[in-house]
Amino acid sequence: MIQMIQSEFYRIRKSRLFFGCLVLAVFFVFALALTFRYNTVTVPLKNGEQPTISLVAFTEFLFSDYSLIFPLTLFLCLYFTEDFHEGTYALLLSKGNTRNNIFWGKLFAAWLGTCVYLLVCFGLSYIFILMMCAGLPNITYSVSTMGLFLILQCLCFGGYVTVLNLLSCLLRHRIIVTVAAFFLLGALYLYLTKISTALDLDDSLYSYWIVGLSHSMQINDYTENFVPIIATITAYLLCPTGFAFYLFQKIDLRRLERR
Amino acid sequence: MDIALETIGLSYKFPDGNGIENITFQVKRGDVYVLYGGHHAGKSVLLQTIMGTLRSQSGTIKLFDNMDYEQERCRIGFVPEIPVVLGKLTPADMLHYFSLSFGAPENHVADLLHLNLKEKKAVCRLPLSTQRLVNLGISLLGNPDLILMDDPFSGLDKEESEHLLSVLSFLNESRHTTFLLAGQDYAILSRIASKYGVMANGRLLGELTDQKLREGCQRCVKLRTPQLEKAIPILRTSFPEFEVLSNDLIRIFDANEQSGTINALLINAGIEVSEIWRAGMEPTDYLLKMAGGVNCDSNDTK
Repeated sequence: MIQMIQSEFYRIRKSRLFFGCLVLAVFFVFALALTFRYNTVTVPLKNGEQPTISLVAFTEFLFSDYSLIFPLTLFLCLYFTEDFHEGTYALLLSKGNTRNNIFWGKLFAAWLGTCVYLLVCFGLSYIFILMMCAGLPNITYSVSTMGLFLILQCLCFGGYVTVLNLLSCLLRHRIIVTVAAFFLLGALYLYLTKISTALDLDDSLYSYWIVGLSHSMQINDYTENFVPIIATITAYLLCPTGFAFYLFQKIDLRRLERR
Repeated sequence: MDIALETIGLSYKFPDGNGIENITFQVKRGDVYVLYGGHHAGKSVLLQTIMGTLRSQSGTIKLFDNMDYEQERCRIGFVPEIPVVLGKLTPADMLHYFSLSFGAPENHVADLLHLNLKEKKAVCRLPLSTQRLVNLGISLLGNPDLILMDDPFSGLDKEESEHLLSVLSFLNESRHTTFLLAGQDYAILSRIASKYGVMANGRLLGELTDQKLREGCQRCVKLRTPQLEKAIPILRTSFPEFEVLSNDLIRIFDANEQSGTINALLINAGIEVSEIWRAGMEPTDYLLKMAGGVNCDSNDTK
């Protein structure tokens, strides 16, 4: 399995799409940081108010927009379905590779790739905001607090990777998977946030949608909700992975015929 | 003789009823076994079932006389009909990726196939023949003993086919690599095949060696005579297996080596023989007829 992880990670490293999506995400993050600075520093100063800035607001701001998620979703959908599209499984299954190895190799490599993607985006976003808002109050948090927070964010995205993997095993055609993934993002966002708000629910369902969890998690209070956060992440990591693994053992791994 | 591959009662049916049914055959080591059949005959499904991309619904697969299929699977390679290309990877990148996946070094593969690993273009932008050679190179990683190829010559021009044929012949002769090829281009496959398995509608209809195929194609003697009515009673006594094809043409079976005897018999009886010759069908037509692809005209001659 280590060989499969190495080879799949090599494939991700060599993927132009991965770097394209990463550049797009970094651009979004930079644009968000600029907008955030304008809204929280420039506009209050014009009104004669003292600007207040905090990482709480920034993290919320960063994840409230789908700047990181859209490029990642595009990359992962195409990555997971490429083997069905190209018929790579037939080659991979020769030379003694098993379905287990292939499944876990791809999933671990996708997790690794996502971690690299997130580390670059998180790192740059924090650098941008610290550079733009240096010297302003309420910007500081301890490194350990920020580190644990970022690890939780990474785990959230790891859970999202498993959801996309499951979707790929279920639908297999890359266009269908990609459209379904973006449709789900939009539909669940609307359903879980707007409808919850419209119904005036105390406890928004959005908290339990893995991507939304990133949004609901705030750096100042995530330690208080640590148990439900961990439970949600664990459920998202285990359930889709288990179901996708079961499906992968059964499904037809032939190249999907071009009709 | 060692057996490289043996399937017993292998079946896989799709919901629409297509697929393969009860396939039992053997490929001996060192053989070049050709699965011959038209479209939807089940050749590719059979290869995919052997590879494991389709899980067989019944039957067993034995590789190299070992019942543990998984243990021996590292000794096989596969080349699909439509070459696998990964994103914008170059030939060298693709070989490296699969080399990492298989844990097999990439030595000498490029030299053997005359592949240019310094090529900077992505595999998807290269000609079909190069793409297929890259896929063959991937299948050769780890020096496999058995290579499965799905329609290896489709889409190749004469020169490319000759090159691929020379590579396959070299591997078969010098490395004793066993091949299981699926295809329907008899003209080129016959130059390397040692045995044929004819498939149609997901079934293996029959197997024949190259020699048997040639014998089968030349299996009758034809004669033309204007005195057909007189010839029939004479032939009936000595060569009862015959068929009247037209008002002056007769085909006689099981008498391939006796055309002289037949001729003498008729001449001695005062019957004029305008023409007499050994006849049969083109191997392609013979195989197609066997596969039920076309209804072979009995007047076909070599």
